[in-house]
Amino acid sequence: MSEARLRRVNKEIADCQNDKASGILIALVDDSPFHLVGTFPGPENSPYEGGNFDVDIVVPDGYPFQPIKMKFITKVYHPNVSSQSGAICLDILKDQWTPILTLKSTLMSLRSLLCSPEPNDPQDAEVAKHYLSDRADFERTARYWTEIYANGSESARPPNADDDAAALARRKKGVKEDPALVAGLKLEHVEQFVNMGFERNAVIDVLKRLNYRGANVRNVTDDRVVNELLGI
Amino acid sequence: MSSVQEYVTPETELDSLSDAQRHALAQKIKDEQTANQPLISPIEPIELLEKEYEDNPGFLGKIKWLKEETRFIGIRRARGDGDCFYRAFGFAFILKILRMNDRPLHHFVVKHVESTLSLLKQAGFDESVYLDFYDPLKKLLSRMHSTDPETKELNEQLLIEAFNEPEISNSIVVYLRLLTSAFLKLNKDEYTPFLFSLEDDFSSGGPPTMEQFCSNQVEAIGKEADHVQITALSKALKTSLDVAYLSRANAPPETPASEMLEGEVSLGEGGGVAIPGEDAEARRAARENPDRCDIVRFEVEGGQMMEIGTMLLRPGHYDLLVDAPSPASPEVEIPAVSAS
Repeated sequence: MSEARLRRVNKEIADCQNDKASGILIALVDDSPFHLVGTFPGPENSPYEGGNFDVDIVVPDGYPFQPIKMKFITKVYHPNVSSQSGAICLDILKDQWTPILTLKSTLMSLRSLLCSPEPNDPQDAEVAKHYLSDRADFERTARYWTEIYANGSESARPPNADDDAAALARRKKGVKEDPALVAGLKLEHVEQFVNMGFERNAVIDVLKRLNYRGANVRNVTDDRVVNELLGI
Repeated sequence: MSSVQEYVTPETELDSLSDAQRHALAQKIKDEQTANQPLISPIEPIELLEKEYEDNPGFLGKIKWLKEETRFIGIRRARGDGDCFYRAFGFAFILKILRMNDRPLHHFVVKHVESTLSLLKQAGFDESVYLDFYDPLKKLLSRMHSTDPETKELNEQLLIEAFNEPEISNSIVVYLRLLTSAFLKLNKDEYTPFLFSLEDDFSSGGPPTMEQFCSNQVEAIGKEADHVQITALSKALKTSLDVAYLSRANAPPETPASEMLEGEVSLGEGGGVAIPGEDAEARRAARENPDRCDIVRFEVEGGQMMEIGTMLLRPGHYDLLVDAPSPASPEVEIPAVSAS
């Protein structure tokens, strides 16, 4: 559309590529500078430390007067990120956008969002519930997700190749994710109900829905779980 | 990213949408409502505004007041996208310089506008980013009194066209936002006491810091300007303006009939003591007229460079009011005549 938009985006891509210190990488998905993948290392002293996080970036026609569109490609366990779609709830990507934000500064904001969740304005209500009911237990699950999903990522990759590549990396390492752990549940809790004769995935679904995690476990009676499993 | 159409049908419950989806939907509705409006419109006769409020006696009375008691004959609309104050300001600012047609003043204004770049730098904005937004403003200003024969002199029609080019128009809006923000940050001791907590945006309670206010309410695209922002921009550009408030809020409360004592003479027609002098009479009438519009002056005390006229504020939206031509400036357009 406009030359100014192209000039600005190209300059921003070059800025990121020249700045090694920030740890932020930007790569083109195809030939267009308007569809990119950004990668940044998980912030230190957070459950995301040690992971590399890929973000799908679309530069809209109205850029920089309209916000950049971003969503996580790497699966992230965080109250403001959809655990399903990677959609992000962050004000600067919506009504707080300002044209002085750049690819780099927006990715940096995303990185600091990982350190400072806003559970009261969640993107993923279930994860937010987990965060609010037992912080330590939430962090365990977030760390597990980082290990399972964010370690295989070595550099920016196009979104479609991600699932396969990450799965391949995990298989190579001999790691296989356990759906109970991914859901932030304790194996012994899941086994307890599986041993009553219920199907494992159904148990995981119900326990997840009831937020059967950390300190909240004592608020959920066994009867309640069994009733849910029986569909009562 | 999924588009709005993928998840919204007429049957969709609003509650079922995620935050991001609701935002996308709201944005789409806003875009659709405003997409057909020009960013800055040609002058329309003020009668069109009366027609708009035919069924709204509260507003209609005030528009009639504006028409009859003041000299406004027209309105120039800015698109209702939340950037209207800054866009209207930028337009009126350049239009005024154009109309004054005064080379020394033009030179002075260009120098002053250029000097505001240093405020942005002092406030910590990234020069490589804000220069892009300054450029279109500088280019428009350089198209007056130019010594370069290649330059196409600016005129009113070309200025309207430029302000309807999104790239140019939005860049100027952003520059004015950044300048407002820089001015507030650099004078934060003076302005922080005027920051009021906006319920929607600051759920934590208590007023925001100047930094928060500037990033949430000034630098963010589409955020409407309020008193504080108008004051800051007016001072930063040494430019005075008036804002006429067209809202029900400032209408005087109606006196309940039961409070009127029998035999008491109500003030108003035939009541009150006559004030000698036609002019004073007119002013008294205006004061007592419930349809009177509050007009707030943003005056630059000392060093005023120019004044750019009056904006009309309806709740959440600014437009420009157009004066009747005075004998001193015969070149002003008269829409009522040109309309036929």
